[in-house]
Amino acid sequence: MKRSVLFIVMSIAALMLFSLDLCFGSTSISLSSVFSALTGGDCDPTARNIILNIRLLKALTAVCVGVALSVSGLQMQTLFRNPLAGPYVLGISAGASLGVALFILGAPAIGLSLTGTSLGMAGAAWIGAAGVLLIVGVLSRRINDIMVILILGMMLSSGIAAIVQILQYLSSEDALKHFVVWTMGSLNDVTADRMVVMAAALFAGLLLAVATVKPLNLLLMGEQYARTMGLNLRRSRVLLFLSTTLLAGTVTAFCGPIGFIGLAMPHIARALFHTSDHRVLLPGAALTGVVVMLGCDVLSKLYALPVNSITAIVGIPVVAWIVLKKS
Amino acid sequence: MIELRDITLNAGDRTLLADVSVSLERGRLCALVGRNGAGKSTLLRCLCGLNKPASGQICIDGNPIGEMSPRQMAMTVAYVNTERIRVASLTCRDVVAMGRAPYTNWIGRMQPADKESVNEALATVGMSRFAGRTLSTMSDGECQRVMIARAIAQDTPVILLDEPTSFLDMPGRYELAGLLRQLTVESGKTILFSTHELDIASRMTDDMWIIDSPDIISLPSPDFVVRGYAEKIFGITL
Repeated sequence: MKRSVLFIVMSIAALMLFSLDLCFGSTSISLSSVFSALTGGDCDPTARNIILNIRLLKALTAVCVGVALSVSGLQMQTLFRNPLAGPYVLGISAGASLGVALFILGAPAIGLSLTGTSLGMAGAAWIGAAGVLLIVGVLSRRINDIMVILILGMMLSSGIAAIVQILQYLSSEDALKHFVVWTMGSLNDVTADRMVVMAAALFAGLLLAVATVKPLNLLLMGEQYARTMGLNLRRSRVLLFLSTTLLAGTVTAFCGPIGFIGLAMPHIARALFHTSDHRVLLPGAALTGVVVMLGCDVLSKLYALPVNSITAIVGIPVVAWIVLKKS
Repeated sequence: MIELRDITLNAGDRTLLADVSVSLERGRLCALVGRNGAGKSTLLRCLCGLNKPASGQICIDGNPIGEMSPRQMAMTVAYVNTERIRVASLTCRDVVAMGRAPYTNWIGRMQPADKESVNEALATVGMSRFAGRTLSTMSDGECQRVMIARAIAQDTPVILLDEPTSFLDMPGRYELAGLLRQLTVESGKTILFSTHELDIASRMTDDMWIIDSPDIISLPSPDFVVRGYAEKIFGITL
């Protein structure tokens, strides 16, 4: 009962922040204009244009990012049984960066001009993310100690970062700028047709995520117990890796690496909902992600800061809190 | 009934068991004993499908476990090891409910019959009043009982336990052996557990499997002391 009240309260908060997000920007638009623009009512055509073609897309992107990164972070934390795991920590975002770097920086080097093709960039990020997850997954099969896997994941990220740096060093000014802007993370670059591709990929990732709820619950007990209770470990890992690649890889492809959401949101959801049951946590973390990402976007507009700095400022205290609570 | 047919088990280059064939009748309580590193845990993991033997076949009630799906396996054998499970905000009831996983649907929805089975399992191990508490607030002995309740809720003909007595104090160990005996007598389960407690093994069980690498000696428990195995394998007099 208490949980459903919490879900309702948070949904209302998400709706309010969504409307606020539509109001704020370089010019403020009143809530009533936002409402009439959305419902097709009487409204200033410039305001209508701003709302429908710019802010609505951006707010929807924030929602997508919040859901995808939170769910992906939750999956990784349970799979690796590590509270500090997340798509970013394990190098999935680094893998996506490598994919994008190879695509943006590498393609011109061999005489192709592919930059800006949303599908190509997303594909490159997906392949990069999947590659890193595959390596981490293979390592995790052979190594029991989760700390070792985490260290190897971080080493892998650093190695990838070095390769990306080499690519940056060798690339042209134009391509370099294109890539650096991508790494800053932004909710601004998602156009309507990109949104369709992103939403479709995220929807597929979320469907897979829902299918991993029961395996994730069993994995709370560790892989050995989970297997003796009927978990098909190989299939579950494939599902989890696919789902996380679709969710985190897609978001990173379209919006750049956005830090701390994937790591922090599952913890906030656990604290709010007082449960480890993924049937509650999965929607809970997703909803928390939506609320926080919309909040971050509103703040980033108010103070004219990149959204990535805001998520870090929100996320770091949460990580500190986890570490302090553990000790 | 558990049957090992020509089982060979290796740990790295070392041969733990070579061409071993033993069996355990349905409804018996059997202790698996042997020196450290003899292969008790490895054998138990093979019996529940976590590891594969180097060669040979393991059958439960006549069915080779190598041919079972993970779900069929989970409906045949339940397993309890010494790993300490401490998940934040996971209550005893949640843990025991996980035992119902092979019977619930894709999202793990509990039917009234599943809930009933969880309550019964908690009552059997005497942990009903702890149902709403989280494992992190409980002692090792209490956690051990919850893990056994989970195995009971899994509703399998066979339960395997890896050193269930290791974290318990002396009275706790005897209580635990009594609980296992009760399960074989009242529910007809076949239970095999590894232990270093030769006293409990020889006095409170029906059968014993003694790993004398590379062989397993299977005998009725009263014969263990009478036939001098305690001295022969462990070098002690009981």
